[in-house]
Amino acid sequence: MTTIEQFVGAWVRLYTAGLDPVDRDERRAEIASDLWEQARALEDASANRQAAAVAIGARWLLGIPDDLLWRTERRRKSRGQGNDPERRRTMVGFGNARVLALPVIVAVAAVVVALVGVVVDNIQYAEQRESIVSNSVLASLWVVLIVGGIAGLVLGFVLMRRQPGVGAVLVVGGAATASISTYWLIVPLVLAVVVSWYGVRRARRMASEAPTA
Amino acid sequence: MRRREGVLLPIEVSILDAGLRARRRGVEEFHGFQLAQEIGERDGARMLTAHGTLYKALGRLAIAGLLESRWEDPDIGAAEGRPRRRLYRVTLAGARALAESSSAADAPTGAPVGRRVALVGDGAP
Repeated sequence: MTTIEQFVGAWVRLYTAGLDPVDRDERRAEIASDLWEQARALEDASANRQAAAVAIGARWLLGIPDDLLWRTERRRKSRGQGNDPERRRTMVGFGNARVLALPVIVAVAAVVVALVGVVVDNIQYAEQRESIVSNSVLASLWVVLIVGGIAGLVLGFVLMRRQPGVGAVLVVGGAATASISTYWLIVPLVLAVVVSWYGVRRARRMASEAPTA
Repeated sequence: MRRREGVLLPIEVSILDAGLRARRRGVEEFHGFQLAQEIGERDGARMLTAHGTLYKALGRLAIAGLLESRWEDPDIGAAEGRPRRRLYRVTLAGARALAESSSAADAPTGAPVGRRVALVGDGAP
Protein backbone atom coordinates (compact mmCIF):
# COMPACT_ATOMS: atom_id res chain seq x y z
CA MET A 1 0.00 0.00 0.00
CA THR A 2 1.38 3.39 -0.96
CA THR A 3 1.80 6.34 1.37
CA ILE A 4 -1.12 8.24 -0.13
CA GLU A 5 -3.39 5.20 0.26
CA GLN A 6 -2.35 4.92 3.89
CA PHE A 7 -2.92 8.63 4.37
CA VAL A 8 -6.42 8.56 2.87
CA GLY A 9 -7.19 5.44 4.89
CA ALA A 10 -6.16 7.28 8.05
CA TRP A 11 -8.42 10.18 7.11
CA VAL A 12 -11.35 7.80 6.61
CA ARG A 13 -10.71 6.20 9.98
CA LEU A 14 -10.60 9.65 11.53
CA TYR A 15 -13.88 11.03 10.16
CA THR A 16 -15.75 7.77 10.71
CA ALA A 17 -14.57 7.41 14.30
CA GLY A 18 -17.39 7.34 16.82
CA LEU A 19 -20.12 6.70 14.26
CA ASP A 20 -22.61 3.87 14.22
CA PRO A 21 -20.54 0.70 13.65
CA VAL A 22 -22.47 -0.25 10.51
CA ASP A 23 -22.03 3.18 8.91
CA ARG A 24 -18.40 3.31 10.01
CA ASP A 25 -17.41 -0.13 8.77
CA GLU A 26 -19.26 0.17 5.48
CA ARG A 27 -17.70 3.54 4.66
CA ARG A 28 -14.22 2.31 5.57
CA ALA A 29 -14.62 -0.85 3.51
CA GLU A 30 -16.00 1.04 0.53
CA ILE A 31 -13.18 3.58 0.45
CA ALA A 32 -10.59 0.86 0.99
CA SER A 33 -11.98 -0.94 -2.04
CA ASP A 34 -12.01 2.27 -4.10
CA LEU A 35 -8.42 3.08 -3.16
CA TRP A 36 -7.28 -0.40 -4.08
CA GLU A 37 -9.10 -0.30 -7.41
CA GLN A 38 -7.72 3.11 -8.31
CA ALA A 39 -4.18 2.21 -7.33
CA ARG A 40 -4.33 -0.91 -9.49
CA ALA A 41 -5.87 1.02 -12.39
CA LEU A 42 -3.07 3.57 -12.18
CA GLU A 43 -0.51 0.77 -12.12
CA ASP A 44 -2.10 -0.76 -15.19
CA ALA A 45 -1.93 2.62 -16.90
CA SER A 46 1.79 2.78 -16.01
CA ALA A 47 1.31 6.02 -14.10
CA ASN A 48 4.38 7.02 -12.13
CA ARG A 49 4.22 7.25 -8.32
CA GLN A 50 3.89 11.01 -8.25
CA ALA A 51 1.05 11.07 -10.75
CA ALA A 52 -0.73 8.30 -8.88
CA ALA A 53 -0.36 10.15 -5.59
CA VAL A 54 -1.72 13.34 -7.13
CA ALA A 55 -4.70 11.53 -8.68
CA ILE A 56 -5.65 9.84 -5.41
CA GLY A 57 -4.80 12.86 -3.28
CA ALA A 58 -6.96 15.16 -5.38
CA ARG A 59 -9.96 12.88 -4.98
CA TRP A 60 -9.38 12.84 -1.25
CA LEU A 61 -8.91 16.60 -0.93
CA LEU A 62 -11.94 17.64 -2.96
CA GLY A 63 -14.16 15.18 -1.12
CA ILE A 64 -13.36 16.48 2.36
CA PRO A 65 -16.41 18.78 2.64
CA ASP A 66 -18.73 15.93 1.68
CA ASP A 67 -16.96 13.58 4.07
CA LEU A 68 -17.60 16.01 6.90
CA LEU A 69 -21.20 16.63 5.86
CA TRP A 70 -21.78 12.90 5.66
CA ARG A 71 -20.38 12.46 9.14
CA THR A 72 -22.62 15.21 10.46
CA GLU A 73 -25.68 13.61 8.88
CA ARG A 74 -24.81 10.18 10.22
CA ARG A 75 -24.31 11.53 13.72
CA ARG A 76 -27.60 13.37 13.67
CA LYS A 77 -29.38 10.34 12.35
CA SER A 78 -27.94 8.12 15.06
CA ARG A 79 -29.05 10.62 17.69
CA GLY A 80 -32.61 10.22 16.49
CA GLN A 81 -33.01 13.76 15.19
CA GLY A 82 -34.07 12.56 11.77
CA ASN A 83 -36.64 14.99 10.44
CA ASP A 84 -37.35 17.62 13.05
CA PRO A 85 -37.41 21.29 12.02
CA GLU A 86 -34.31 22.09 14.05
CA ARG A 87 -32.33 19.52 12.05
CA ARG A 88 -33.45 20.99 8.74
CA ARG A 89 -32.56 24.49 9.89
CA THR A 90 -29.11 23.31 10.95
CA MET A 91 -28.56 21.44 7.71
CA VAL A 92 -29.09 24.65 5.76
CA GLY A 93 -26.20 26.05 7.78
CA PHE A 94 -24.03 23.04 7.09
CA GLY A 95 -24.76 23.48 3.39
CA ASN A 96 -22.39 26.41 3.59
CA ALA A 97 -19.56 24.04 4.43
CA ARG A 98 -19.42 23.25 0.71
CA VAL A 99 -19.01 26.94 -0.03
CA LEU A 100 -16.32 27.11 2.63
CA ALA A 101 -14.33 24.36 1.03
CA LEU A 102 -12.84 26.38 -1.80
CA PRO A 103 -11.44 29.26 0.25
CA VAL A 104 -10.09 26.79 2.80
CA ILE A 105 -8.35 24.84 0.04
CA VAL A 106 -6.98 28.07 -1.40
CA ALA A 107 -5.82 29.12 2.06
CA VAL A 108 -4.09 25.78 2.64
CA ALA A 109 -2.44 26.10 -0.76
CA ALA A 110 -1.36 29.59 0.24
CA VAL A 111 0.34 28.23 3.36
CA VAL A 112 2.18 25.65 1.28
CA VAL A 113 3.26 28.29 -1.22
CA ALA A 114 4.39 30.56 1.58
CA LEU A 115 6.40 27.85 3.31
CA VAL A 116 8.08 27.00 0.02
CA GLY A 117 8.77 30.70 -0.40
CA VAL A 118 10.36 30.93 3.05
CA VAL A 119 12.60 27.95 2.33
CA VAL A 120 13.60 29.28 -1.08
CA ASP A 121 14.32 32.71 0.38
CA ASN A 122 16.44 31.17 3.11
CA ILE A 123 18.47 29.16 0.66
CA GLN A 124 18.83 32.04 -1.78
CA TYR A 125 19.84 34.70 0.73
CA ALA A 126 21.48 32.66 3.48
CA GLU A 127 24.97 33.84 2.58
CA GLN A 128 23.94 37.47 2.61
CA ARG A 129 22.54 37.32 6.10
CA GLU A 130 24.58 37.68 9.27
CA SER A 131 23.72 34.39 10.89
CA ILE A 132 21.60 31.32 10.46
CA VAL A 133 20.03 32.01 13.88
CA SER A 134 18.55 35.37 12.91
CA ASN A 135 17.48 33.79 9.66
CA SER A 136 15.55 31.09 11.55
CA VAL A 137 13.91 33.64 13.82
CA LEU A 138 12.79 35.63 10.81
CA ALA A 139 11.44 32.49 9.17
CA SER A 140 9.53 31.56 12.32
CA LEU A 141 8.02 35.05 12.51
CA TRP A 142 6.92 34.75 8.92
CA VAL A 143 5.28 31.42 9.55
CA VAL A 144 3.44 32.82 12.59
CA LEU A 145 2.19 35.76 10.54
CA ILE A 146 1.12 33.50 7.71
CA VAL A 147 -0.66 30.91 9.83
CA GLY A 148 -2.23 33.55 12.10
CA GLY A 149 -3.37 35.60 9.15
CA ILE A 150 -4.91 32.68 7.37
CA ALA A 151 -6.58 31.46 10.55
CA GLY A 152 -8.15 34.93 10.84
CA LEU A 153 -9.20 34.77 7.22
CA VAL A 154 -10.95 31.43 7.59
CA LEU A 155 -12.50 32.30 10.96
CA GLY A 156 -13.76 35.55 9.48
CA PHE A 157 -15.44 33.77 6.66
CA VAL A 158 -17.09 31.33 9.09
CA LEU A 159 -18.37 34.21 11.22
CA MET A 160 -19.58 36.17 8.21
CA ARG A 161 -22.84 34.23 8.11
CA ARG A 162 -23.99 35.42 11.51
CA GLN A 163 -21.82 38.46 12.17
CA PRO A 164 -21.00 39.96 8.78
CA GLY A 165 -19.18 42.99 10.24
CA VAL A 166 -16.85 41.06 12.51
CA GLY A 167 -16.37 38.44 9.82
CA ALA A 168 -15.43 41.00 7.18
CA VAL A 169 -12.92 42.66 9.53
CA LEU A 170 -11.32 39.31 10.26
CA VAL A 171 -11.17 38.36 6.58
CA VAL A 172 -9.54 41.62 5.57
CA GLY A 173 -7.28 41.69 8.65
CA GLY A 174 -6.27 38.07 8.20
CA ALA A 175 -5.51 38.52 4.53
CA ALA A 176 -3.50 41.69 5.20
CA THR A 177 -1.53 40.10 8.06
CA ALA A 178 -0.59 37.07 6.01
CA SER A 179 0.18 39.11 2.92
CA ILE A 180 2.64 41.48 4.59
CA SER A 181 4.73 38.52 5.75
CA THR A 182 5.71 37.64 2.21
CA TYR A 183 4.82 38.78 -1.25
CA TRP A 184 4.38 35.14 -2.24
CA LEU A 185 1.01 35.17 -0.50
CA ILE A 186 -0.62 38.18 -2.08
CA VAL A 187 -2.10 36.44 -5.09
CA PRO A 188 -3.54 33.37 -3.34
CA LEU A 189 -4.89 35.45 -0.48
CA VAL A 190 -6.59 37.95 -2.74
CA LEU A 191 -8.06 34.98 -4.53
CA ALA A 192 -9.23 33.51 -1.21
CA VAL A 193 -10.92 36.79 -0.25
CA VAL A 194 -12.67 37.06 -3.60
CA VAL A 195 -13.80 33.45 -3.46
CA SER A 196 -15.02 33.96 0.12
CA TRP A 197 -17.02 37.00 -0.87
CA TYR A 198 -18.54 35.11 -3.78
CA GLY A 199 -19.23 32.13 -1.52
CA VAL A 200 -21.12 34.19 1.05
CA ARG A 201 -23.21 35.82 -1.65
CA ARG A 202 -23.96 32.47 -3.19
CA ALA A 203 -24.82 30.88 0.15
CA ARG A 204 -27.21 33.72 0.94
CA ARG A 205 -28.81 33.53 -2.46
CA MET A 206 -29.27 29.75 -2.15
CA ALA A 207 -30.68 30.15 1.35
CA SER A 208 -33.17 32.76 0.10
CA GLU A 209 -34.19 30.47 -2.76
CA ALA A 210 -34.51 27.36 -0.58
CA PRO A 211 -38.06 26.11 -0.08
CA THR A 212 -39.48 26.77 3.36
CA ALA A 213 -41.66 23.65 3.51
CA MET B 1 -24.72 23.17 -3.55
CA ARG B 2 -27.99 23.71 -1.74
CA ARG B 3 -30.50 21.17 -2.96
CA ARG B 4 -33.83 22.27 -4.37
CA GLU B 5 -36.04 19.90 -2.51
CA GLY B 6 -36.46 16.55 -4.25
CA VAL B 7 -34.60 17.50 -7.44
CA LEU B 8 -31.81 15.30 -8.72
CA LEU B 9 -28.41 16.93 -8.39
CA PRO B 10 -25.96 16.81 -11.32
CA ILE B 11 -23.85 14.16 -9.59
CA GLU B 12 -26.95 12.05 -9.04
CA VAL B 13 -27.90 12.38 -12.70
CA SER B 14 -24.34 11.40 -13.67
CA ILE B 15 -24.42 8.33 -11.42
CA LEU B 16 -27.76 7.09 -12.73
CA ASP B 17 -26.74 7.76 -16.30
CA ALA B 18 -23.42 5.97 -15.88
CA GLY B 19 -25.18 3.03 -14.26
CA LEU B 20 -27.61 2.70 -17.13
CA ARG B 21 -24.84 3.06 -19.70
CA ALA B 22 -23.00 0.21 -17.99
CA ARG B 23 -26.18 -1.86 -18.05
CA ARG B 24 -26.52 -1.34 -21.79
CA ARG B 25 -23.05 -2.83 -22.14
CA GLY B 26 -24.17 -5.86 -20.14
CA VAL B 27 -22.73 -4.73 -16.80
CA GLU B 28 -25.69 -5.00 -14.46
CA GLU B 29 -23.86 -4.12 -11.24
CA PHE B 30 -21.01 -1.72 -10.67
CA HIS B 31 -18.77 -0.66 -7.81
CA GLY B 32 -17.86 2.87 -6.76
CA PHE B 33 -14.54 3.25 -8.54
CA GLN B 34 -15.96 1.71 -11.71
CA LEU B 35 -18.70 4.31 -11.56
CA ALA B 36 -16.20 7.13 -11.05
CA GLN B 37 -14.34 5.95 -14.15
CA GLU B 38 -17.55 5.73 -16.16
CA ILE B 39 -18.54 9.27 -15.18
CA GLY B 40 -15.03 10.53 -15.91
CA GLU B 41 -15.05 8.98 -19.38
CA ARG B 42 -18.52 10.27 -20.13
CA ASP B 43 -17.64 13.81 -19.09
CA GLY B 44 -14.12 13.69 -20.49
CA ALA B 45 -12.86 14.78 -17.08
CA ARG B 46 -9.19 14.50 -16.23
CA MET B 47 -9.98 13.87 -12.57
CA LEU B 48 -12.40 11.37 -11.12
CA THR B 49 -15.25 12.30 -8.80
CA ALA B 50 -13.97 12.83 -5.25
CA HIS B 51 -14.45 10.01 -2.75
CA GLY B 52 -16.66 12.00 -0.40
CA THR B 53 -18.85 13.40 -3.16
CA LEU B 54 -19.32 10.05 -4.87
CA TYR B 55 -20.14 7.91 -1.86
CA LYS B 56 -22.35 10.51 -0.23
CA ALA B 57 -24.40 10.73 -3.42
CA LEU B 58 -24.52 6.93 -3.75
CA GLY B 59 -25.85 6.74 -0.21
CA ARG B 60 -28.57 9.31 -0.93
CA LEU B 61 -29.68 7.50 -4.06
CA ALA B 62 -29.76 4.16 -2.26
CA ILE B 63 -31.87 5.61 0.55
CA ALA B 64 -34.22 7.13 -2.01
CA GLY B 65 -34.63 3.75 -3.68
CA LEU B 66 -33.07 4.85 -6.96
CA LEU B 67 -30.14 2.47 -6.47
CA GLU B 68 -29.83 -0.90 -4.80
CA SER B 69 -26.62 -2.15 -3.29
CA ARG B 70 -25.15 -5.32 -1.88
CA TRP B 71 -21.76 -6.39 -0.65
CA GLU B 72 -20.16 -9.05 -2.77
CA ASP B 73 -19.18 -12.37 -1.30
CA PRO B 74 -15.95 -11.79 0.66
CA ASP B 75 -14.54 -15.00 -0.76
CA ILE B 76 -14.53 -13.54 -4.26
CA GLY B 77 -12.44 -10.57 -3.22
CA ALA B 78 -10.16 -12.76 -1.13
CA ALA B 79 -9.63 -15.12 -4.07
CA GLU B 80 -8.63 -12.16 -6.26
CA GLY B 81 -6.47 -10.63 -3.54
CA ARG B 82 -8.46 -7.42 -3.20
CA PRO B 83 -10.94 -5.83 -0.77
CA ARG B 84 -14.56 -6.82 -1.26
CA ARG B 85 -16.66 -4.50 -3.37
CA ARG B 86 -20.00 -2.88 -2.72
CA LEU B 87 -22.02 -3.42 -5.86
CA TYR B 88 -24.77 -1.08 -7.01
CA ARG B 89 -27.47 -1.37 -9.62
CA VAL B 90 -29.97 1.19 -10.87
CA THR B 91 -33.54 0.36 -9.88
CA LEU B 92 -36.62 0.85 -12.03
CA ALA B 93 -37.42 3.93 -9.94
CA GLY B 94 -33.89 5.22 -10.65
CA ALA B 95 -34.27 4.73 -14.39
CA ARG B 96 -37.61 6.53 -14.30
CA ALA B 97 -36.20 9.36 -12.23
CA LEU B 98 -33.39 9.86 -14.74
CA ALA B 99 -35.77 9.75 -17.69
CA GLU B 100 -38.06 12.32 -16.08
CA SER B 101 -35.09 14.48 -15.16
CA SER B 102 -33.84 14.38 -18.75
CA SER B 103 -37.23 15.14 -20.25
CA ALA B 104 -37.78 18.01 -17.81
CA ALA B 105 -34.36 19.43 -18.69
CA ASP B 106 -35.28 19.27 -22.40
CA ALA B 107 -38.65 20.91 -21.78
CA PRO B 108 -39.28 24.56 -22.75
CA THR B 109 -38.13 27.29 -20.37
CA GLY B 110 -40.25 27.58 -17.27
CA ALA B 111 -40.82 23.88 -16.82
CA PRO B 112 -39.44 22.33 -13.65
CA VAL B 113 -36.03 20.71 -14.05
CA GLY B 114 -35.43 17.33 -12.54
CA ARG B 115 -37.69 14.87 -10.87
CA ARG B 116 -39.03 15.58 -7.44
CA VAL B 117 -38.11 12.62 -5.31
CA ALA B 118 -37.88 12.33 -1.57
CA LEU B 119 -34.20 12.01 -0.73
CA VAL B 120 -34.02 11.11 2.93
CA GLY B 121 -30.95 12.16 4.85
CA ASP B 122 -30.13 15.26 2.91
CA GLY B 123 -32.31 17.75 4.67
CA ALA B 124 -35.35 16.70 2.69
CA PRO B 125 -38.43 15.91 4.74
